[in-house]
Parts: sequence; structure tokens; C-alpha cells
Amino acid sequence: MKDKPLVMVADDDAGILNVVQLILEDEGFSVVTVSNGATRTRVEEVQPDVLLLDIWMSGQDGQEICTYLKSRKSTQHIPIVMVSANRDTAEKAMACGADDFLTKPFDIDELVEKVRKFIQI
Amino acid sequence: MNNSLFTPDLPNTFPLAILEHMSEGVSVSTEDGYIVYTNKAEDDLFGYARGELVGKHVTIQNAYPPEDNERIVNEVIHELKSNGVWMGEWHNKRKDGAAFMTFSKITSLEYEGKKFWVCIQEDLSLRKELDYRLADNEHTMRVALAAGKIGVWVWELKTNKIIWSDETYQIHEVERSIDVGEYVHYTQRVYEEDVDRVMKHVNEALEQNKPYDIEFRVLTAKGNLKWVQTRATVLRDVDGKPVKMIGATRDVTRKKNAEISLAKSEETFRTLSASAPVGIFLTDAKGNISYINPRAEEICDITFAEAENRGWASAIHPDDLPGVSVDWVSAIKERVEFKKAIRVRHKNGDIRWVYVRVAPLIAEHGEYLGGTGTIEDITGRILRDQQKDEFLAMASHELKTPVTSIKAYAQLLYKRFLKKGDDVTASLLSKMDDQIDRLTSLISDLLDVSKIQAGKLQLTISEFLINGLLQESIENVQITSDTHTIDYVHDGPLIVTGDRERVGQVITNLLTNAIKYSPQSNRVIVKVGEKNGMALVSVQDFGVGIPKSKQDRLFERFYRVEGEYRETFPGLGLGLYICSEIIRRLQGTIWVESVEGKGSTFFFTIPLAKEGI
Repeated sequence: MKDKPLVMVADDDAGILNVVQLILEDEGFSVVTVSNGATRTRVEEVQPDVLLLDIWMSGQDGQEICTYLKSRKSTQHIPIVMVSANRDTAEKAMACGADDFLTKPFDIDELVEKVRKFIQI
Repeated sequence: MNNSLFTPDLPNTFPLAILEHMSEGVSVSTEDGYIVYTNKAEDDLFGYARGELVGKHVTIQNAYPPEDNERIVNEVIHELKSNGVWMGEWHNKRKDGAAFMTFSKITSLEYEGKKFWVCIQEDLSLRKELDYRLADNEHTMRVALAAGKIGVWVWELKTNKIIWSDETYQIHEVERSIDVGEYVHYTQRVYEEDVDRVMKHVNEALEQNKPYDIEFRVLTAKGNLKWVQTRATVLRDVDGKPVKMIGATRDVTRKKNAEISLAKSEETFRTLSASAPVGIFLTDAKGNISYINPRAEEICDITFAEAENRGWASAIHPDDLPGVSVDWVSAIKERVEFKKAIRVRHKNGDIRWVYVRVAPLIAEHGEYLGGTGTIEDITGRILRDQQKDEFLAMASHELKTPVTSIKAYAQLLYKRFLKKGDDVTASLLSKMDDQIDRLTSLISDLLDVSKIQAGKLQLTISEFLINGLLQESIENVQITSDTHTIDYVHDGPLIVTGDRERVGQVITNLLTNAIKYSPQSNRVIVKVGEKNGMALVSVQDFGVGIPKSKQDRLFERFYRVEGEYRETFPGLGLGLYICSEIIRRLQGTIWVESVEGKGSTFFFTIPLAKEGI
């Protein structure tokens, strides 16, 4: 059993990865970040409690990753919160099997709430 | 009795035979006017049987009324007494009562101590009729020629003399008294450039008997240049040699000038249309193409022959054709301008964007004659717009990423300072967060506009309680305002169909505008009710208001209130444009009622959810 809930954050922007990590750590989560094209394998390896997945990342398609993870036995149980700067992609997020959706820029309370929702304590 | 009186006194029968065979009527009467003899011609002339007149008084032959008869008879007697003869026209009456004229000669004759009147009468009615007809024909002809301003001329080839009618003088503006001379003089009146042509035609008419019908210019005596049309006939003798040429000349200057100016204006139109950098075409009343200029051919890659009638449809992109057809038919029916940006397909497969406008051509009495159209190649503009929209979308997205970080950092710091008990620094960070929200909202507006322009504004339609959304929006805006109280008035819950988030965006926009544009007031009223199957929402402020002339443009992109308020109320001028596009897409309407200085009320409608759902 883990000490702290583990959240993985996938985004191609280092600034966002950095601040999200700080926020979630302040709230008592362990955070793993991924910014390159290795999201799928990292999720399989790390098995986070929640995945924050950016929908538009250079070199990776968040939707495709989401669909892939939700189709794999080893990963389909992991709650995914899609993050995007575009409100209109909410439907896309739901279509690829994501569990929730967060619009950039967000309030950190909202971020924390969405993550906490999926953590079974 | 009278017959017996005459016959025995005639010594020889021969003179009697002469009298009997004369073509003039002859009558002999006694001094007191009783007829003693009439020849056959006389009886025929007056319509009596042979010898029937003998013994009758001469007045039976007169057409004069009784009161005139005596006077005339006295005049005749007076003349006879002084000159021995009376001659003149006489009004006569036939047996059947018909009046006719004769030319009469009356002489007196004394024979064996008795006085007789001898009257020889020539029937004038035939001659009168001929004279009248001739005079009438000539008169009619003169009137016709004068009315038609047709000049007549005769050229006597023997003498080479030319004679003109009055109208010919008028056409050439020559004094009536002047002798127009010979053929050679006439050719001097013909405009220099036309002389050879005229002479050639004259020669052909004379020598080859070709019809002479020619239009040429003459220089009048007053120096005016006129166009005349002349037709002539050559009269020939028994040997076929030309004797005279008779012609009619008409002044056709006006007609000719009209023809020339028409030809010139057509030429100008062709030149203009051929060299115009914009495509031009004409359609008939049925909407078929009747003309296209070279530029239009080039833009659409279609020849006139291909475009004629309904051929133009082949140039239009198949995806755009149904829309074009529907709009085109309705524009013709409604007689309104047709305006549309459409794609045309070139023969090599290239797709070009064109902007087509067709203005209806309507005759004075209201008849639809067709349309005048222009075609403009706007491919470059469309591509630039697309690039611009893509750029805007990209830019907004790129801007949002750092803003997300900044906002998150500001809030993180706020929480950390609050935890440490540094409330002052925390409140500064809170203000920073408000400014980040303003920046976010501006970026969102730019992104929305670029989506609307690209036709990519996606809506998530659901059914929701508009009252709940209004309350949420009012609460969110109320928090940000210390100055205004937002009152909410409603008639009960209403469920509507639409994009909840987008409708919320519209309400928030209207509320923030209401507060922004009413700095001197402290109240905003929001109402919602049902009207014609729609939910009607209104947001009323008591602010600066909008002048009537500006109200229509309020919902345009980039439109901002002008004048003194421009500096007072900053913004990009996108908010109401976005609101109107959202409401339009949701099948609602948005409008404003406003009085300058008193305030504005913005209204919008949105469809109610269907019953039973």
C-alpha cells in the first residue's frame, strides 16, 4: 500500500508540469510528470492513482493515448482527467473514455477537487 | 304647238343633222323662255326623253332657287343685250333632280322677225371631278411630303438642271429663291468623304439600273452637317436611255446620330467590360446567362458558349451548387440582390473562391428584365482569412498555456502565504489572480471569434433550467461588483434547449456590460419569462445608453461605442458579436432597446425544451 496517492501529470509544457506538481504536493499527493512521447509506457510502469492528461501535446495526441490506455487491461482502471485549453474539446475527451475534463486556465481548487474525487481514501 | 312652229321654218335638214350629232347639248328657246328645240346630247345630259323638253320653260333645267333665278336671268339678258353673248358656268338640274355643272354659251338669234335664245352646254362634271382629284392628290402628296419632311427633286438629264421641292430647300438650308443649278453643283453640297460613294451609286442607277437608296452626309448652306437618306427612280425613254431622275430625300441626322451614339456606347461598354479587372455577366429574366466578359471567363475557367443559359452550373463546386440554386431562384423570385461567396472548379481541378453579386434589373413599369452580375476572385482573401483565423486560434492557445501557469503559481503562492498568516501578500496575489482572469477572458474572446469566423464554434446542446443558470451567473458577477445590486425577476422555472456554458457566457457578458456602462447607477435588473415558445431574458441597466443610430451596429465584430465613452470603457469590441453569434446559432434572437442617457435593456430569446421531455 502506497503512503501517498500518486498522480501522474502528462503535459508538453514544463511550466505547467512544474506548478501542478507543486500544487499537488502541497495537497499531499506524490507526483510523477511526463513531458515526452513516453506517456503510454510510463503509465503502464508507474500505475498512478490518477492521470492528468493534456489533450494537445506536441508529438503526442492526448485522445489517442486516452483511447489506448482505456483499452488496455493493465491501465483501463486508471482515472483520466483530460486537460485542455479548449472548451469545445470536452466532448472529444468524453468520447475517448476520459473520466473528467479540466479547462486551462483553471483554479487550483478545481484541479485539486478533480484529482481528489478519484482517490479512494 | 312649239314643235310645229320650229320645224316648218328650217329650210334645210343638214344643219339639223349637225345639231343632232354634236357632243354638246344644244337648246333653242323663245324670247320668253319656252324651249322649242333640244338636240340628243341635251336630252341625254338632262335625262329627258327625246323631245320631252320641248314646250317646257327653261327654268326647269335650272338648279337655282327661285329667288336667285330671276336675278341670274336678268344678268344673262343684260349681258346678251350689251355683248350679244353670255358665257359661264351654269348650275343645272337633271330630270331626276341631280345637280350638275355645265359650261354654257348663250347667244340671241333673230330669225324671221322672231327672237330665240340658243344655248350650247358642255358637261363640266367630269372635268370638275378630274380637276378635283388632281388637286386633291397633289395636296395630299404635298401634306405627306411636308409632314414626313421629305424633299423631292428632279434631275433633268437633258438640261442637267435640278429642281427641288420646298422641303428639299429646307433640308439643305438653302434660300427658296436660289437656283440650285446642275448635278455638279449638287455634288458640292455632299460631304467630302461621301462624294465618291454618292457618285458611284448615281452612276450605277443610271447605267446599270440599280436601285438608288443611300445614306450620306451633306453640308448645308448654313454649314451644318446633316445625314440624309435618298431614294430615287430613273425614268427612261423608249430606247431605255435615262431621261430624268426623280428622288426623295429625308433628313435622318437624328436617327443616324442616335445609331452612332448607340454604337459608341456599345463599344464603350464592350471595351470597359473586356478590360475590367472584375468579372461581369448579364442574365435574362429567367436567370440564364446572356453575356459574360473575358475576366469572368477567366475567373470561372468557362467560355461564354459553355456558360450560356444554365451552363454556368458546371463551373460551380458540386458542394456549393445546391445552395447557389436555392438562393438564386429565391433572389429572382423576390427580385433582390444575390450575394454569395462560392467555390468554382477549374477544368484542371483547381478550386477558386469567388464572390458573386447579381443586382436585379427592373424596368420603370416594374418588369423584371434580368440581372447584372459581378464575379470577383477572392481566393487570396479567403486563404489569408483562413491563415489569420488559424493564427488567432494558435496564438490564443499558445497564450493560454503560460497564463495557466501564471494563474496556478499565483494561486499556489496565495495559499502558501495564507498558510503562513501573511494575509497582506495573499490579498495582493488575489488581485493578481483577478487580472489574470481578465487576460484569460480577452484571450477566450479572440479564440471564440476565430472559431466563429472559421465556422468551428461547436455547441454542446442539452436541456437545462435557465433559472438556475441565471442565478449562477448573477452570483458570479455580483461577487465582482461592490457598486451594483443585480435584481432577479422571474415567472417560474423554464427549461430551455441550448449550450448551457455558451448561454452562461452570454448572460455573464450582458451583466458585466450592464455594470460597466452604468457607472453612475447602482442597479441592474435581470428578468426571464416565456414568450411565443421561447424563453425571453432581459438585462436592464440605467447607464449611458446607446444612440439609436448606433444600435444596429452594436452586434458587429470589432464594433465599439464611439465618442466620449470610447476612452472610458476599454475593450476589444468582441463581446456582443460573440453573444449574437451564439444566440443566432441556438435559434434565438438578440436585440437592444436603449435611450441615450437613460440606460439600455438587452434581450435575447432561446427555445424552450419540447414538452414531455
